[in-house]
Amino acid sequence: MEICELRLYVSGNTTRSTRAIQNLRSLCDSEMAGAYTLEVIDIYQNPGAARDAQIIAVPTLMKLKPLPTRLLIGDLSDTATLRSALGIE
Amino acid sequence: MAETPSATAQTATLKKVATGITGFDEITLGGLPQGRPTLICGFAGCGKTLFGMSFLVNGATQHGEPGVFMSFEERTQDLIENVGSLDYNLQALVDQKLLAIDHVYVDSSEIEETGEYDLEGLFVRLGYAIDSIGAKRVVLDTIEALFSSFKDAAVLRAELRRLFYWLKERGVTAVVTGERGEGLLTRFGIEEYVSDCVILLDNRVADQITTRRLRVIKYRGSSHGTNEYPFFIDEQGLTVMPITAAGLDHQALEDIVPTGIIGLDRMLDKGGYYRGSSVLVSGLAGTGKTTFAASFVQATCQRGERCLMFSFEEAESQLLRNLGSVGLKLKGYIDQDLLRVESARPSLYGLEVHLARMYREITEFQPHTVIIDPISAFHGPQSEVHATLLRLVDLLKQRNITAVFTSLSDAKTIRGELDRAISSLMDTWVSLSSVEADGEYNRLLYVLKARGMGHSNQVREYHIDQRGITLVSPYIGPHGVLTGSARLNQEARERSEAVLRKQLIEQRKREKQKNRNELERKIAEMRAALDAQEQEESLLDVDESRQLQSDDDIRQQLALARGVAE
Repeated sequence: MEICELRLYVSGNTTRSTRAIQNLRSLCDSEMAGAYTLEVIDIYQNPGAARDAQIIAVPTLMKLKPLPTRLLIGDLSDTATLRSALGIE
Repeated sequence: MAETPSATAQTATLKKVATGITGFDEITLGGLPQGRPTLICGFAGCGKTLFGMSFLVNGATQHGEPGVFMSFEERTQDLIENVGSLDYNLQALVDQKLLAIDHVYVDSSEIEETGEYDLEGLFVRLGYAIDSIGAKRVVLDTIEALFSSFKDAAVLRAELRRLFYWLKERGVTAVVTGERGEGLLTRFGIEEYVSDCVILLDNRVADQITTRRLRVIKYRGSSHGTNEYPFFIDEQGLTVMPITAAGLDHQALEDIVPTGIIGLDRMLDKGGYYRGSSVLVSGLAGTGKTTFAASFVQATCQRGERCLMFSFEEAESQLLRNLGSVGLKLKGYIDQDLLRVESARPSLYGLEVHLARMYREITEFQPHTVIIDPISAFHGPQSEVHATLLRLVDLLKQRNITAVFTSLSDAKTIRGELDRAISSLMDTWVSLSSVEADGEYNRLLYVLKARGMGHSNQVREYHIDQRGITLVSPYIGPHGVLTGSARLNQEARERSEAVLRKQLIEQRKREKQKNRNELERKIAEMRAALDAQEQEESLLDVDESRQLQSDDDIRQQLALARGVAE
């Protein structure tokens, strides 16, 4: 099974960003432990990355692999959408 | 710029940022409110993006203020290419760090919403762009595009409200563009959040001619022109025509400028037109209106003054060729940059756009003399034509520019209210006409009015040939003014009568002389006879005295003889 490559854009340690990281990690750790990589990018620290990746809404989650790429915005509290996007049955 | 007392008072409290857009800074008494967002709204294609871009480019090039352009519609490269058709070189400004362009692209079809979010990414990107070049100016074009990208309108509204507040906090002067919606200024009502200054751009088509108009709907803390102002877009960007109100506060000058036609100068008591006055040359086709105007052009350029000629009937080269045929060589003045000819078909733009173009040309070239050839080319509702001309005349008078307008009409056959209305705007009116008599047409000129100076009341005949316009002394006889062959005939007839009279007099003179000679001869003869008489008389006297002498002698001899004998 291909490694799931995720990138999460957050804005510092705001509640919403923290919640998004927690929601994502808890799902991934329970469903696909060891089969995913997660890169968390703080746009406050790296504003150029926000421009390059066309980030407007925060938090934004990008599933880069496996293809097709998926783009999710919000604090990832909608678990059903998140699961379907990550391909978890 | 017209500095009114109220304007100076306001600038003290509300600082403004010049947009550098010709005319706009004048109607807003200085530009956009500094450190506040301004909403520019209008339908598609009305020039919103260009307004924003002009604001940034002028800021960068004229005031050295860097700016950020955040585009929500056009890609950076497209934007650079699109405004490249104007004289804007965005890439150079980007390279000099005077301009930063960020294209925001959000594909709504890809996005899935999974809970709460905000638009912090937009803030971060904007802040990053502002900080990277130290921007003072920001344009968001068209931010409402975000409404189609994100489903949660409530979040968007809250975020936009926060954005405008944030922009004020950052102290940048922002221009936010918005597409006009039905019954609203913008499709999503963002005017609710940007309330300091709202400008509406409009693009109307009437008689297949498009006219763009601009109106300041709201300007918190400042007075501003409230009318609709026409504007146009060309390679130099946006130009707004600021003049609407008729100002009659211009200075009247005493200077006189020659008309370029010696005979016409003589008909006007002061020897020409007043500087800063408006002159109408009206006449029917072929009366030489353009030549009259061009003679004035030549006179202006000969003095070393600048002249701007708007030609609505002939292209520049045709005009120069045709005027060359009547001895007006104007090409040299164009090379010296004393003369500029602007040719355009009247139907190319609406009236107000013409006016706006003229305004820009006049502001730029600073001419002493302006020619409009002809004003009758402008068609449209009479009130509109009149209003346009009124503004033009005021504009020229305020700058002390002497203007010659030509008009295809005849003073005797005034066509309607329009002509009468025009005449009230004009200070001097030279009426040209051609009169048919004895199988020929002859051109006549008449000074209908000349405000502020006496003028000849005579109708003069004039000729146009390769030496230009020459006025001919009038023949005024018992049957009126005679022109052309009739005048020549009459003059010839009078000349031959004069010759006859002269011959008669000389004959008489000769006769008298003869009589005189006769008398003098007689006098001489009689004098000679008298002399002869006198001579004879004196001879007689001598004889007589001799006789007496000899008688004495005889008596003495006798006495002697007698004495001897006694």
